[in-house]
Amino acid sequence: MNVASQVATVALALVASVVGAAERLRPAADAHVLTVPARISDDPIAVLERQMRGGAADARRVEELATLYLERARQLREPRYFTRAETLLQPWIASDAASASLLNLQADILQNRHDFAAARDMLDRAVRRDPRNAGSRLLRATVNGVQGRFEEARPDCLAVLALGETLAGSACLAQVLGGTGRVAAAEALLRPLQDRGSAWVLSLLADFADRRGDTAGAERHLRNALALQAYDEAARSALCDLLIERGALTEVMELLDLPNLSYGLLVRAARVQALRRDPALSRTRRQLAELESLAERRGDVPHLREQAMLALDVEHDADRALTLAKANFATQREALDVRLLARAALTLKDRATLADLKQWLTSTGFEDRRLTAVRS
Amino acid sequence: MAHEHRLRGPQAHGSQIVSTLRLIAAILAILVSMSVHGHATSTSYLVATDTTADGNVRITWDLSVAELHWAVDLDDDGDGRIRWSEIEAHRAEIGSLALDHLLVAKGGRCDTRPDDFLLATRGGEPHVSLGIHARCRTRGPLELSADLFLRESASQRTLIDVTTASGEFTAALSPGAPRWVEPESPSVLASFAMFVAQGTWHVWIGYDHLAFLVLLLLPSVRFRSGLGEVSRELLQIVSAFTVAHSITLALAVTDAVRLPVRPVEMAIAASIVVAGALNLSPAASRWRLPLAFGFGLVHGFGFANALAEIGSHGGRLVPVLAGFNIGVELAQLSVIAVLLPLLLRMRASPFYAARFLPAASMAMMLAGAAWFAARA
Repeated sequence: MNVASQVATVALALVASVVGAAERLRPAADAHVLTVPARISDDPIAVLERQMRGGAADARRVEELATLYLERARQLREPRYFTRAETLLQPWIASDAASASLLNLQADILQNRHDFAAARDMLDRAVRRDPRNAGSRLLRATVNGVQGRFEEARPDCLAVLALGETLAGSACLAQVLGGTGRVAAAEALLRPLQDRGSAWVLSLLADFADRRGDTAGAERHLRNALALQAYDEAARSALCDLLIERGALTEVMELLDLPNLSYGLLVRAARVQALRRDPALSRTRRQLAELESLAERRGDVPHLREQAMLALDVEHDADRALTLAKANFATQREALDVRLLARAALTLKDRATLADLKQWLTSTGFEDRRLTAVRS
Repeated sequence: MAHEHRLRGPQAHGSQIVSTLRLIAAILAILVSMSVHGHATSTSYLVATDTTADGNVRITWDLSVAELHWAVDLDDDGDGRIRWSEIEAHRAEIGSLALDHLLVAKGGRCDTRPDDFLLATRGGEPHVSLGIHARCRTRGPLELSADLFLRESASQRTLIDVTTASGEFTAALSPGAPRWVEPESPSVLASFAMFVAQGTWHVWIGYDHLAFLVLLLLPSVRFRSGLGEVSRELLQIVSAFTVAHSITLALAVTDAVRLPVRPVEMAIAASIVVAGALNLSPAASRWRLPLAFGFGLVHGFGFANALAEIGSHGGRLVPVLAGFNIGVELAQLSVIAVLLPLLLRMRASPFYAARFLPAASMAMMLAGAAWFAARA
């Protein structure tokens, strides 16, 4: 089911300036302006919305509807559903009596816009409210894991396991092990679970395989993950990166044949276009620049990881890439973040950064075959 | 599959199933969040022009069709395709929704009424572009508050671009700061003083202007004996340079002539090379006056670019231009005041004409050539 294509915007997607007036026009009466999900009378979102408009708002319905909004936001890659969920949750979150599940949903929205500190505060509150809520623990562990705070993540992962959530708990723990020098143990933990239908497990296995140098295995896991969750942007980006590396550029462009490409996926498209010397690159770069200036004007958290990748692989501006990769490394420490920093520092032969990085690799035990140049 | 479970509600195995689903949603959340969505999240764009003294403020407010669709169901036939005719059918409703959430004031609240109703593209997405006419009966700084959709979510932004008699402004309205007030513009004297300082500072830190000036001054002391003669020659050269750059600075600042930055910067670097070369030949000294004037014209464009970088100057052309020019002259005089006594003392020595002058000119020529290469 190609849900993503349901939200195709009109073809008049001319790149308009962020600043100042946009060109204004009067379309023909029958001009097709926007595609939205067709109205389905038994759409669960519509059903719940109708019930709530009828005055039947209670914590359970709010939780149901917010969960559906978040799911749809991801399926349709339509971030406005996050806004909608937040609107719905806000009055409930403001109350001291808010349940851990509602707090988890709000934390999910916060981390989605990379406001990790606020998300962690929200999750701390959720764990205090209900220490037995596995969702809060798991989300908190994952936020910590993404930021490289593996030791803080570990007790939450163990708690998730103790609460009987084997699959999620194992994946959580594997992430911790994988970040702390025990990739082999992490893989051993996850391998029996790889057919349990979790895109997360497959993405983790792909990450581990890649860091061991088994790129073919990594590619296979990522393809399986995407088969499960076509809208998993991280798996799609990671697969693009692997394919670009082995020169399978046509396959990358097939993966990127989607409406509403995110900033991160647009950067992958730019990398392919740069390698192919495709004149479409200038248009992609304009789109990226526009998204950057929009984010800047809005005061959003910048897409540092992808900006560093763009600077390094498309603009070949290692100085800028290093600055961005350093800033990114302060908040995100997954394999890709570490590699970007290492590549920029190696290009510039920046000894200080390389020494810091080496120190971090030694202290965490982070393993990655591609980082041997840093260790030496 | 997920929907099936959820619709079963909290009855049979409800809490366990819901908890597991929440977990998986949470796990996916982290993964999907790692790349950022491609199009704008919840942004509206407001452009206001208040440049006439008659109390009329022109506004266009671009609201995303997707967002409006949530507030006002635009898809009348429910087929998932929003046509322009369907949007126009809701014109009155959209207009009053927008005006209910817009406040325009100048000392007192202004009357607002809807004007035209068009389509604009922002960030590749369709937006309804509402023309709004505000009529203000009182005087005072312009004040805007546009809080449509703002109350509902922390990620909502209204990006505003305002042009008033005192300058151009941009801002982002957010739930934490839903109001913009035109800043009080500095007094004529304050802007004059500020730009005197800016002009002085620009010459002092602008090594290329300094280098050119010094090259013009170095030979003045060589062939003359009396202080009177030296001073007259200096006065002529500095005046020629000043008159020339004042002309082009004024032309550029009033937008009468516009030149791109790079060629101007290259020509300034070239002027240093030429002036240095002329210093090497005593016979060329008669060219120095035309040179000072000719390249003075070029340097004026350079000053204009510097002035443009300093930014919005409140629409007060005369104090800004006069201040900046006087600042430049003061800086030039300060250079002469330091340099002249030194040169007068040195010129008696045979070393000055035979060694120092050619060596210093060569050194600055080389620097000019390097700048030229860097700017090319």
